[in-house]
Amino acid sequence: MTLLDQYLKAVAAQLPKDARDDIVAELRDMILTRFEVKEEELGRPLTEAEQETILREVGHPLAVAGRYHTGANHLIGPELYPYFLFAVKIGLAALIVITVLATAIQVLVGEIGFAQGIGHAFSNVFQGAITLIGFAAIAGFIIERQPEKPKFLREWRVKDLHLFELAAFDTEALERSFKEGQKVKSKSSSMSVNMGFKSNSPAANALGAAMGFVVLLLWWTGVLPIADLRPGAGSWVLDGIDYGAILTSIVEVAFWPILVYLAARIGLELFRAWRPAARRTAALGQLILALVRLGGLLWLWSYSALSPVIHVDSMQALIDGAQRMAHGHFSLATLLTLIGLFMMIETVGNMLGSAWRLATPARAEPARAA
Amino acid sequence: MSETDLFESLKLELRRGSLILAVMARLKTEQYGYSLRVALAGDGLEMEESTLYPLLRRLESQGLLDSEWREEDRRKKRFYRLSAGGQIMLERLAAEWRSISASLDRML
Repeated sequence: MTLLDQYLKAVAAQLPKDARDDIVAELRDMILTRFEVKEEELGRPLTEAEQETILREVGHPLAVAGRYHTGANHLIGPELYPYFLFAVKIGLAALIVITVLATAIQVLVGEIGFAQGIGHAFSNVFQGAITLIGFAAIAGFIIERQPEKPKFLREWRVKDLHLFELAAFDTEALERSFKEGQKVKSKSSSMSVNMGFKSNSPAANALGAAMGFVVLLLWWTGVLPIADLRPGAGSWVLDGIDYGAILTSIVEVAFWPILVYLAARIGLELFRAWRPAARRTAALGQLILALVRLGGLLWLWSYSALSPVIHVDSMQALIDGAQRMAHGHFSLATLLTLIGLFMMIETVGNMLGSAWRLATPARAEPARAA
Repeated sequence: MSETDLFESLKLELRRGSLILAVMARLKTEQYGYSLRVALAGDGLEMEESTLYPLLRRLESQGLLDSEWREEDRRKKRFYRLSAGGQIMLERLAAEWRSISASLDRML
């Protein structure tokens, strides 16, 4: 086998099958012509070393074959890259919030010390960030290779750009958004609960929520190593209550339902971002998911392994517990009871809001129609 | 990046689009890869084979060039020529080029 055959074989291996023979034949002619021109110049046949010099000038087989590649040449192209970076920023922010909360609980129940908690949090954020960036890169790689970019990337509206301002982690933007949230709250006559720090663009809210739920889902499935979901009996004991055993038992029973719920929630948020105008369809989805959430909370309250800890028989018992907390007697059980009750109230409010949006026609939004 | 490197990188960007026009213009008469490269070099436009050959394939897949394998000098060679669609496209691109060039001439 000549040097040229060996070179062309290496190029051919990298080329698409259907065009391989054609490209190789043309490259062979091109290189042989170059050999002949050089031979004419020297007045003698080329040595192997001289042939190799010419082949090196033509280029490495991987690079030569790469120039004939017709698809995307980037992992994530320059057009998609800013969106990738934005998603990573939002994901990292959600990861840090969840990690800090999970670590705070671990420190609170005495599972780990404060210094150890800080170490854990840093290590978890680092590992989680690598995983998150890896997943975002895979998602970007797939989107980059689609014939068309997703609709929500192509058909954006100025009104939806709020969230993108926040991603710069710039305090001025946060403050501005907070103030605008307040303005909307004072003007709004709708039943929706305004949380203050919330943009008034449904698509931006939905995208932010979807990203947050993706991080939660990745944690729940064990992809992001934030905090162990099944710490086991005896690992988190506080006031004589084995929270480790309780959590492990709850996760055993509720793993799949919560996984499905999170996936459905991500789907719904993406739908809201994709079709912000389909208000009633989104409201129906929100109503169904709120019903499921209420069912889950009632199960947690009455039947789960946590039930004996958080269930209170009378309002008086709850008030007494809250008063004791107010006087400095911290009780995780009372705190969980209050959180559980608050979540149930919030869920019922959410259901009423969704039902209202479902039952009433869309309000006229002149700015949006413009 | 040094000034020379910056100049080279900007020059490359400036040349990129114009090379397509040069290749199409030269292929009003039939050429094979090597003879085309020599012809372009003769006109003062040096072009690497690694750029030229994939470009020829791309222009052909876009319907702007026709090609055929023929034997010449005891070897089979692929000859390229501007297609009918390519000729129309070249006229449109040439008009665009002249307009850009006239605008730049006024500014520079």
